[in-house]
Amino acid sequence: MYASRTTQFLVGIFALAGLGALAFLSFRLGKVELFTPPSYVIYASFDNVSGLKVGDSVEIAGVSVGKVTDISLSSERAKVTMRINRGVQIDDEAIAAIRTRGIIGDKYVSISPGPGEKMLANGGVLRQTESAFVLEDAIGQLINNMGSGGGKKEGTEKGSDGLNNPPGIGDPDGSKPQPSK
Amino acid sequence: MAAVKETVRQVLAIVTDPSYKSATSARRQKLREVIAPRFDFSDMAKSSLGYHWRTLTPAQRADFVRAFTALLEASYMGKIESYKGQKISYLRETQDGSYAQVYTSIQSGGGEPVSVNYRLKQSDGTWKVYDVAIDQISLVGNYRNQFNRVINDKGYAQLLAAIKQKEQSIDSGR
Repeated sequence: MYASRTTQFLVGIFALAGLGALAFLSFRLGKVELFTPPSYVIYASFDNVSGLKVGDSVEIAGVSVGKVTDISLSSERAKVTMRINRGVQIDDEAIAAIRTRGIIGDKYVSISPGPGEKMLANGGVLRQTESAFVLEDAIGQLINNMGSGGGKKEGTEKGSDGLNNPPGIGDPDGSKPQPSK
Repeated sequence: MAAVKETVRQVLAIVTDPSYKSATSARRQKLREVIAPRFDFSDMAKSSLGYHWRTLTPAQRADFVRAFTALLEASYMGKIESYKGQKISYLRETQDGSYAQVYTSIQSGGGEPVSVNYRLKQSDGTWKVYDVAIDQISLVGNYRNQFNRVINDKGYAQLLAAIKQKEQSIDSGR
């Protein structure tokens, strides 16, 4: 009639093992981190983050090293919170820039490592940032430049030696002769 | 903000001073004296080199700072000297501890104003510019991308040579 005590015991063990496996699987798949947080949080303030969303990736040399977890407004600038994978070291003089993937692609935060000796810990702040490229602004400037005598942007042309200056000031109409490239 | 304003005022005073019209080298010297205390060129050089900075010896670092400063001077002195009464407006400033950013714009001719943002760091009680963003493009960031590419492709020695050559070509093209 009733199964022996040994059989009941074995079934119990089997059921428990099954539950344990299920719990393990759901934690792994759901990426729930129970005990050791394998990441840390850093902040960076930008003048403009147009198009960046929570969940977008943070990359160094094209390798994803973390995610954007929050974007908020803080004294007229955008404060971006990023969760960086543990083991990835970012120095305090690294530059965080918002870049676009492809022509109409997603935005992401690109971090270029700096010369800093100090590595950022949890809650660290990146001071040097570059804002998002806003297409409308760029087109507006392009049209304006064409209107005012076809002055070209120095920063966008590629010299043969690979060294260029960022767009110049005080020489908006290109009236000054440029060094031959 | 006051610090940036004062330096810009001094620079413009020198550039627009008619008595320097024929004495360009004297004017340059004067400009250097005004600009040097406000801009942290060694920090800019260091930051432009990025993580490669850590691999350099102290002598190499000093050499690089010299070359980089010369490049900046060659690139921008001429632009500063060509100032022709463009209107400079101070928009606002933000401060976060010992870091600050001053937002300005330069209106020239009929075109759209160009935004020039100075990023400053306070050390030993003085505010010094460590980066300038023109049209939202960071000077240091731009150089860092270019320098990294050259170093990774051809090595540091080639970069130093290219910087020196570039500086000379600008100087001789003047």
